[in-house]
Amino acid sequence: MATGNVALRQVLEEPIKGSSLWRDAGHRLLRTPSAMVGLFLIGLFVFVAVLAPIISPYNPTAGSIIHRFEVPSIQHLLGTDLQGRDILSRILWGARSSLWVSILSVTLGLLIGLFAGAISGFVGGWVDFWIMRVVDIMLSLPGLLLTITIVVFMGPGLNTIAFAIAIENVPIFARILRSSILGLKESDFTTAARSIGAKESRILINHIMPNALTPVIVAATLALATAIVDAAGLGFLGFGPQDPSTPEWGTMLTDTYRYLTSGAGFTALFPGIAIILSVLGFNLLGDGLREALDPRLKR
Amino acid sequence: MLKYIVRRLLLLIPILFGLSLFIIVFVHALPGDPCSSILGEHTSPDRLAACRHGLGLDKPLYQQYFDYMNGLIHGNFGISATNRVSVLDSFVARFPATVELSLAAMLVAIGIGVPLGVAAAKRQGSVFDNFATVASLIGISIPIFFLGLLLAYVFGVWLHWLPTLGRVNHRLYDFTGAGTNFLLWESLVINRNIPEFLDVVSHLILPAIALGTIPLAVVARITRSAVLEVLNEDYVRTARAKGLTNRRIDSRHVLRNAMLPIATIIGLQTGLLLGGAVLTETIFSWGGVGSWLFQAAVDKDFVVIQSGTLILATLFVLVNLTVDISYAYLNPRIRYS
Repeated sequence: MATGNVALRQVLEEPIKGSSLWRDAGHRLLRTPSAMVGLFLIGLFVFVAVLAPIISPYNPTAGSIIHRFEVPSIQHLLGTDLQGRDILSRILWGARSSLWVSILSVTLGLLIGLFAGAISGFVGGWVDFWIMRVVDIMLSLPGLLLTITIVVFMGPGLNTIAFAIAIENVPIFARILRSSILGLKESDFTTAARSIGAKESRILINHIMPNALTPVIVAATLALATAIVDAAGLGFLGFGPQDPSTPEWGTMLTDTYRYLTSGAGFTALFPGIAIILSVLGFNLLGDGLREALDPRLKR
Repeated sequence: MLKYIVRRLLLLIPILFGLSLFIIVFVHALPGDPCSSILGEHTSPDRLAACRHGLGLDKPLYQQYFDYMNGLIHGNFGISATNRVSVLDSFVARFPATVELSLAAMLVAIGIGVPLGVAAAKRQGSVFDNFATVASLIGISIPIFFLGLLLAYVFGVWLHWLPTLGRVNHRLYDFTGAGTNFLLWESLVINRNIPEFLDVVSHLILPAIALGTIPLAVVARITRSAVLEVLNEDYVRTARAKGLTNRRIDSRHVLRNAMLPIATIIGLQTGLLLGGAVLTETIFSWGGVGSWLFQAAVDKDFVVIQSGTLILATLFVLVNLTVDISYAYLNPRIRYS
């Protein structure tokens, strides 16, 4: 009897080591090499963007025309551009533009998209019907053209680009959140929570939302990648920052495009690689997150 | 089946109404109008007002929408504010270029993407599989305009292997005759001119690769995961136990069943490409709908943006319908009623 009591007490006193979905996902993520490469690339990208003023070897806006299109050398590791400016410094500073646009556009898109998706999923009925029709319409519009139209009318620049990309993201986030809420509303754990008398608000906040957000997190990570590409594309088309003292990767490629035949081909290479690496980082992490957050894959 | 198609097509009508309303409100909600770009910044208020009156932009929005829809119902897609050309005429003139480029790009994407995905899935975890996975991730991450620039530089400027501008060498070949603007078809079937056809093909290669890379990577990824899922099915083991050859298992059992998600993604990607490839068309001076609508956006040409977007969105919906219908063929268990 006495020994049994001791055993029981031990069991009761020992904290149950539960592991949350996030903890599990974190562990799985750490074991995925590709996601770690992605995380490293993102880290590098953010590091460069934040520390650009300190680590840039030259002023990104100062250059003399005498030194235009110099090939890479010890003085200019990646060469110089059309106006003789140091390409490495411009790439480092350009990371700030890309980081700013991607974060701003995804945050803005998430705010509007999640609001619309949550209302659609929770309220249902005709509210859901009309929100989803607007989402359908927005998704059937040709994406980049929609973005370009917004940017043309609102004027070029990083903030307008971010706004336009955010609008493109809204229907995607809204639809993903809505469909996962609808699925979770019918799930067993929701019924279980309701049957033990949990309030609706508690079910929504503690049970449905954390689960409904996982696909959104994956989509948002991938949207950061798309935002960098789209922003560079708009910059390439001439809608980037109009102030030449704000370097932007896409805009750097435009200069090269115009002088392609006059031996300046190499200058396109480095901004292009910078775009690929940062986009690749978010894509790798997004892929890793998708697999890590999928509880069915739990080992 | 026919009933299903008719119902889906009827459902298209309210979608198009909603779409047109959305587009017209959206375009008018943005600051600026075609008159400010036609007349420039330094113009008198009188001329601006006269221009707006001429284009009917001074009417209330509901009136403009009503007039526009009235025109649409009568098959009138409107007239461009900048060059006074009918929107439908411009579209018909440019759409063939987009169709040829999109189909060529999808040919690249499917022709390489599907075999790559299948091969990677069958060697899951191998060096080849890892290579294919990384390559397709890089493919998705490459900005299309950067790839286009690289291709144009390497194969055009540097090696002089392939042309990088336009759809055909206009100094050598004249396409004003039949006027279908489907240059591949015209050169091969109507003109029966092989050198001319080859010239058109050579102009198509680089833009098609640039435009096809992202769909290629997407198709390869989807194919890989779809095939992996099917490979574990019981019927594949049964087929193997029956002693069927690998080739037969692959074509009849694996690929046929994996085709559903692959067809979906192919349809979706084709729909996206038909929406115009602004960046690719810009780099290769390809006169398709992408660069046309891009210019319309720059000119703030309301009618062209509205009608052009409406036509493209309709096409997108129709392509998706075609994909849905192809499901019934690919998977006999799916029955539409």
